[in-house]
Amino acid sequence: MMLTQKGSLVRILGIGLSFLLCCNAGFAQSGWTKEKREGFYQLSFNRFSSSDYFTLGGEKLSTNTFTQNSLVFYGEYGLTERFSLIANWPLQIWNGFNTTETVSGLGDLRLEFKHALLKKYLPLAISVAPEIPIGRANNFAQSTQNDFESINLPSGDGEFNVWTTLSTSFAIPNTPLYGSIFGSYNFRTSYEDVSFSDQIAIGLEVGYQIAGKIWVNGRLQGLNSVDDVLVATDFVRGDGTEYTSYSFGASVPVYQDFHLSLNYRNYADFIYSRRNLYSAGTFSIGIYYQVKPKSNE
Amino acid sequence: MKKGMLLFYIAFLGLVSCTDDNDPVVIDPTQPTGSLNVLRSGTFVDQNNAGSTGNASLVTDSQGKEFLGFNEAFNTALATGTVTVFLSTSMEFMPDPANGNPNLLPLGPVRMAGENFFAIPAGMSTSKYTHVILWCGSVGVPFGYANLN
Repeated sequence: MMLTQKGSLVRILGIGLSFLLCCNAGFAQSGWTKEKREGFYQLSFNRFSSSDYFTLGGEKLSTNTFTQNSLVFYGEYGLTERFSLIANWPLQIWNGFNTTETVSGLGDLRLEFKHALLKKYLPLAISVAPEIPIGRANNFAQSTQNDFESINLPSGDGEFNVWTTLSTSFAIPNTPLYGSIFGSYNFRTSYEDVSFSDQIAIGLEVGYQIAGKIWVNGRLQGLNSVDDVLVATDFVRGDGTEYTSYSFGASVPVYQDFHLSLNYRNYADFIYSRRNLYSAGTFSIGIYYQVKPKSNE
Repeated sequence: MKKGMLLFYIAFLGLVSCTDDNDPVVIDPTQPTGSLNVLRSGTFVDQNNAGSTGNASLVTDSQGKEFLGFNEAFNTALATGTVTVFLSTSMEFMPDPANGNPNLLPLGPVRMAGENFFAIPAGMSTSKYTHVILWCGSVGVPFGYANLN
């Protein structure tokens, strides 16, 4: 039971889209999978606003203020004792600068197929997560300063890509403490003849339950571009994006199997330096619902 | 529960906002005719990894009308949004809308790589302008500049 709770917590905190489409490595990863017929469903709202842009060369620029809000569905379901299906789908993403109108659209659907390689002593899981480009790959926001300028602020990156992740976790017996580490490889393809560099993500997470109710966690992640991207061929789609991110989260039960989750995520340079990225804090608030299989109740 | 979720979603859909436009910039679509006489020219210096390349020249055509021209080697980051071309009194973009932007002359957006021409508005002197600036106005960052010598 403890493992189930921890496994859920790992997945619910810190799901925050930050600047545009480059930050899917922000998903939590663990070595646990759901039990058969166990479900987890969350709706979260995320807010990000920044005027600090880091170029491909790592130079920090002060620009007009970019704001992104998103409403994201996350669901996880245990198909078998070892196999879980996970969906992450931004139902709506609102993008805009303070110099433009705000445009919005559906995001890309990420479907993750996760298999538990080991379950008992050292939970170890591998997952394959294709991102299906059903979001708006082009969405131009008109300037509010004149009648001829616009900027493309898509809610989907237009390309098909696949994250492959290996993750492991531990839980200390009789202590509400867990930890996870993961490594991921993102195979990226192209959009309109522009090929994107593959990416590597790494991360670790530690969580602890306070007073038997409130789960808190801290997370550190890094994203690195496999190839050196020297020219901004299409910078809104995250090509060449690199960063280190850290986050803190908490969740508390509010009514029966409904829980409130809060998360704060920001960026730094201590594993990978920030490149091609708007950097600031992302605030997230969500409600999640857990469905337990009858045999576990 | 379902109604609550639906209302929550609809409320966020209503977040789209717009503001009023400022004074419009008039863009002259005229293209040069006949042979061109180069007055001053310079090579683009890339900024912020935009990939800006090529040359910019102030020219007059056979009718005596003045243009800013980019050569075939011109390129910059055009896929993301509008890049606007300005003549400037320095390599720095120095807007001053309260005083009519005395250091800048907007010539219009550039939408394609390669050869481009931008008509200098009738009655405007280009003598005080020393640079061409490629400016991404939505973000507020320069993509490159050329010093006109």
